[in-house]
Amino acid sequence: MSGYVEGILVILLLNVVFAYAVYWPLAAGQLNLGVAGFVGVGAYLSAYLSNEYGISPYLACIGGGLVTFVFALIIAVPVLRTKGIYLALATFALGQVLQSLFLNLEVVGGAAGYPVIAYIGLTGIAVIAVAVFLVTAFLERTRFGLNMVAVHDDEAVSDLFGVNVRRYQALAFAIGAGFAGIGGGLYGHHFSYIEPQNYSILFSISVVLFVLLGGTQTVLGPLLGAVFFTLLPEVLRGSEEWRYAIFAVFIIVTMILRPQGLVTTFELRAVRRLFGGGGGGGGSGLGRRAHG
Amino acid sequence: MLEQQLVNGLMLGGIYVLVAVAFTLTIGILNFLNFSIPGVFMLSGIFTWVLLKAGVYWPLAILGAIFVGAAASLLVERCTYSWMRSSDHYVPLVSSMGFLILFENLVLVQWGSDLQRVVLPFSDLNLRFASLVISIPQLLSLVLAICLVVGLRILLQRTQMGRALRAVAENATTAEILGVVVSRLVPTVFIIGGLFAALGGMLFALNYQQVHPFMGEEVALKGISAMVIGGMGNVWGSVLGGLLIGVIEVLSIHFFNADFVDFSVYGLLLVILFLKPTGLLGASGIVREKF
Amino acid sequence: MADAPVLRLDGVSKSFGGLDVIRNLSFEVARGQRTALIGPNGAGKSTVFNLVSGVYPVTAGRIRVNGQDITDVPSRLRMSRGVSRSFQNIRLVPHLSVLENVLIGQTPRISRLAEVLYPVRLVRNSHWKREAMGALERAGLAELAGSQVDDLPYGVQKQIEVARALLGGADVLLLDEPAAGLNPEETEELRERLRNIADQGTTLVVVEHDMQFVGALCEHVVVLDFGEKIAEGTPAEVRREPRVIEAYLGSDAE
Repeated sequence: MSGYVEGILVILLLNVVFAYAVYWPLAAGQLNLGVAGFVGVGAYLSAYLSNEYGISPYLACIGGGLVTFVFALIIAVPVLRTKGIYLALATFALGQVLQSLFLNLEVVGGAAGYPVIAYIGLTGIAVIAVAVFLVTAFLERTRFGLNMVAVHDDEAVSDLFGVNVRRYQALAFAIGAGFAGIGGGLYGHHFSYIEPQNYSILFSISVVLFVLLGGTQTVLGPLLGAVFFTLLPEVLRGSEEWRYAIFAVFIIVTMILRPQGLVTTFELRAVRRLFGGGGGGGGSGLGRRAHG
Repeated sequence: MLEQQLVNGLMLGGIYVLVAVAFTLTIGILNFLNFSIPGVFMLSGIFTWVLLKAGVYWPLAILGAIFVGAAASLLVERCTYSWMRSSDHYVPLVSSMGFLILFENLVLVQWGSDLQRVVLPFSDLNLRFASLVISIPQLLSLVLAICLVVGLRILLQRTQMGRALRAVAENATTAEILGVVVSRLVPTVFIIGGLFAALGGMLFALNYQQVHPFMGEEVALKGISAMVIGGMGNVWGSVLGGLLIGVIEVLSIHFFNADFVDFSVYGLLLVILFLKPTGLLGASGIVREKF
Repeated sequence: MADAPVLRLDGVSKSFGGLDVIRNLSFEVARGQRTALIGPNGAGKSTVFNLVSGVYPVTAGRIRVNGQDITDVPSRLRMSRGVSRSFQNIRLVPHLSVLENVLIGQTPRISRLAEVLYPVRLVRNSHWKREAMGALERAGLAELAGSQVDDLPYGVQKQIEVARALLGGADVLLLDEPAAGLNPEETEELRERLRNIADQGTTLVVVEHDMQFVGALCEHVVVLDFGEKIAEGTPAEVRREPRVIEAYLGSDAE
């Protein structure tokens, strides 16, 4: 495999992990604009663990993800007191505060950045990225996933049917943060260097953009968004300087024509019917516009 | 010197006030967090530089830059909000982020990513009180910001259009039934918001004499924070929040270092959101719980 | 307490910001009974449902289900205590299919982690799905199992709500205007279904404007006006009450 292809695959797989970090809170109706902060927490924690204690980089990444998960579960208590746009802004502020913490934390290099000694290659990243996808895809098919859709659509009815709405919302927030933490650890151990500038609001916004572009109604949407976001600029490589402008036009046009994202439940059902799968006779949905 | 820092903070705060008002207008009336505002701010700053460099007489250059900003804001309205009134609430947010990326990269393609120096057409004039130095353009921009906010309040409270805008803010559907032509008011909101952001960008270019394609981001993030800290949808809240953030920023640098600025500004934002999400002056009650 | 009434309200009051919406309301619903809660618009019928299901806390009074006081039980746990309900405005989950919406109705019976993590949307022939399909079959909706709910006609959505509410294993089912928006044929079908449901032991409490429907379905009627009970008895009895004629039949009937 050429270095170029390998480099793109690594970015693609990392973007898949980050995509599910944003997908989980969105599945519960929360727009997390501070995901970069959680990526940073995982990156610094795992780098510190493997650098200072010589722990296996894989264990360090998983450990970093777990600690990020617990941290998010705790911070979810005040964050989830806010709703809608206030919640998006609270996560934004949280991301900014975390980034400035990294900037001022001399033990991990502060503004100068922090070198990471242990290395994780393409294979390791691929295994973990696939695991993140499979865990998400499985959970989405469980009663947990079913109830999460209900919480997203109608909190009051979910509550009356016995769903602990607060607990589901906190778990969605924290599972996303945990994945972000794992992704951060992988990033640091692959590129061997992390610095606070990596974890800016622009990082968070771009992940949110490609996840919404892919669509959040199904578990495949974020995957498609990540693939698209990684590969489109490469396809447009000939017109180097225009590629982000073209990407932006693509976002705007997609939101006008298909505000629910590229993949929706409708397409998935159609595909399943095509292959003779279950789902019953749901033919009445032709041409409907799902609301996202 | 602390007094000088406070003065500088207030002057910087004037810029944040203008951006915060731009945000609070679209949030308060249309319930839409318009992420293209930093792009509009930047376009106006860049065009101030471009027009001045081309030798355009400065009052015309200033007007031209503001016109470009307002026009860009109208373009955003045509392509995002007017299409999406009925769809999911984060869609316009995503579209407006798309416009931010588009504006930044178009400027990048045309003029590159370097920091450009703005050469002022007039010699820098400073007022001196004892040991305090106050730059006249900065003082003018602060005064202008306050006057515009007062003007906006009068527009919203006293005029026919203001009443219509407040009706839309209360409930767009009801306003429509009562005979308000919402489809005509929405562009107006974008143009007014665009004017505020563009004015901020132009003044920033003149006051700090430097522009680049991403100059809008940091200012806009502080503007959003100013809006929330003061009280979302509350115009006076944006004034208070903007000035407060300007002062906090320079004091953080004065007492600690530049790396500490984000910690204090966004830390305050987080604390406000946790303890009193309606902000210091209270939201106007028109912000519904949506994106 | 086998002979305790399934549902019992004792002196229940509710006020919103000083405005009394329900005043000192008491009534009992016996096991297996079909009861209607009627009254003019704004009489507080839906509020009673919201108090019983815990959407709002009561201002005063006690609510008992199967003899157990549930007044202070959080809304989330009331279905597992025996009270289930449908809604005046349809409240199905729009992003789920018909079958999945009915599966949501089983949630009050789920408690173990293994059940929460059971891939109920993946396993094709689980007992959960069989049970939900059975409920849809009884409602004559089996062929719609895979459909998206918001494509379906209003009357069908109402039926799905009833099917969902039944699966929580509740003893008493509160139905808020189940016949509203249905055509006469659908109304007839619904009445038959509700009779069957009641015959199988579920107690019904129905808020309904259609007096014919109430007369044909219910054995027991509680009449509210301005938040107070003004009459109680069989449909024939309350129809003769002068206060009912004045408050309800005289002004607002149909």
